[in-house]
Amino acid sequence: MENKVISKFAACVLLMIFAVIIPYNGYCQIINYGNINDERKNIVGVNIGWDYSMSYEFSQSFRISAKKTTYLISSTSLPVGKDIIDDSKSKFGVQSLLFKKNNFLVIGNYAIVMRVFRSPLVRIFNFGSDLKFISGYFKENWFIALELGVEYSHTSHFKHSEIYKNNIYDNVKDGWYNHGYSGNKFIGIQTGYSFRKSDITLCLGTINNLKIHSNPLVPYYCKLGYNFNF
Amino acid sequence: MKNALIYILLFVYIPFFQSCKKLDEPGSLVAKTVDKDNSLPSININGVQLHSEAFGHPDSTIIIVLHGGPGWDYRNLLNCKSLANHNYRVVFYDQIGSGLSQRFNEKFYTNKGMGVMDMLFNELHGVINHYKTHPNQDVILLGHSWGGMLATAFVGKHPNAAKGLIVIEPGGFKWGDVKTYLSNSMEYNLWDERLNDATFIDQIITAKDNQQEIIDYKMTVFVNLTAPHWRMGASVQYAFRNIGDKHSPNFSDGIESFTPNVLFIYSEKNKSYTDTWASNISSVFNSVQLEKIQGVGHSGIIANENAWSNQTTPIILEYLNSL
Repeated sequence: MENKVISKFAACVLLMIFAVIIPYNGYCQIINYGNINDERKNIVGVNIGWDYSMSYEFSQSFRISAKKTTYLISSTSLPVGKDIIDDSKSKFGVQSLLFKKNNFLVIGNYAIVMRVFRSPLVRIFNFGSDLKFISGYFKENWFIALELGVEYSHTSHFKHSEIYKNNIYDNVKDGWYNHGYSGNKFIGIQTGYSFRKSDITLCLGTINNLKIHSNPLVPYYCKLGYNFNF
Repeated sequence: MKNALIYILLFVYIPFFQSCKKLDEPGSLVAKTVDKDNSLPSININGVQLHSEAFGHPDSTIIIVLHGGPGWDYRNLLNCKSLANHNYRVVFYDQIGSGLSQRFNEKFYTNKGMGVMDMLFNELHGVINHYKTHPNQDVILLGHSWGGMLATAFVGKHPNAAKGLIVIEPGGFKWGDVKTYLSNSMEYNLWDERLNDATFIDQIITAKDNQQEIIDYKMTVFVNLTAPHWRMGASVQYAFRNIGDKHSPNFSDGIESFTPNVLFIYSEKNKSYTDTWASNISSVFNSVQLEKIQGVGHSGIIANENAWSNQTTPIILEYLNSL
């Protein structure tokens, strides 16, 4: 029994490492729950769009429970720019069907989020989490749903550059910082068209700060994606 | 085994989480302001504590140096200190909510609407009066960027308050010109590293209205501030942008009553500041001397040691002697 738990735990750790190293997707882990086939347990996808920055994204989902239609999901987004691997956002989590009545479904999604940000001033390594609910109408060939959730930033490790120390603040304290439950809430729609083993997906919505100040400079997200089911 | 995992989480993660520093702890990520660090030089003007220093003989003609922004600070203008060697009293101060001066929430400014300009005029009057040692002491205003706009607006309203005016690359005086200048100088490409660096941070750092340390730090990272500065004043910057958009101010109102010759300096390498732009913007003054500094951009006019010593200082001294 203990060995089984240890192997599951080891598998989870490996998948988390996998999610950090291999690029995946951020906001939208879009799955057409109306087009789930018993023989296809994996979904890999690629997205491009705006998610706090113009990003390329790659995702992978693995169905672990046929009965509850539960997926392990992982994703990473990489903002575009001269140096494509300097910043990244990776997620590892679970997405599960919570309620079903005919074609109307409610889905829950929880993920651990790891973000890396590098600029000439600072390198920030951030841990957060996000919680999302998706509710909508899912058919075999198409779906449309409302998604809403919160994306938290919990703790960060700051390491400042010599430029920051010399030109801005020489007494800056590097190390771990606690953000509490700061973050952003988002609401949007996700839709898609499914054919054979493929889905073309689109999601778009708005992002607002959980606190009073400093809404994102671009308070919207929009992504176009392609999934392959196998 | 499951219990063991829970205990690991409880006994390792929670204490770790609790031991982390708070983002808004004064002095952690950005420098403390004068109201939180008594060792900094400060003056109290109209109940607000301002970061301020002065160099040169107290009885000499005063040159008040006004920094850019709003929300930036005087650290990159410190080369102006050398004017004290030419028998001037050079005064620096960080405007309210900027640099190391006392902070206020964004609403403190936005609630005042255009009354915020009167607050800045009163602040400048206060600074002048604080450093004046005798009533007939002459005052010259030297404003860089936003500081040039503030100085122009001030002498437009109080034409006798200054004997001379030096403006260095003000964005514009009419709000439409300011907007045009800002959009020309901050053009972003959707696929550009700078834009994506600036916006990516939005998902990591968020702040309440009163968490000035976090707001200022985020702004520093956001604008990728690599030139020397004390500390960004983000709230005042957001507020002034909002007030400007709402009221479309004209910072050259009343400037026709200011009769002395004005020294207007711009730079060769600021691509948004063409000869035509400089000529148009400076046309609001009754009498103006236009000067272009070669080989530097917006900040380099003062911050670049070479340009400051060999080009800007001789022009300024010649102007001051002509008054």
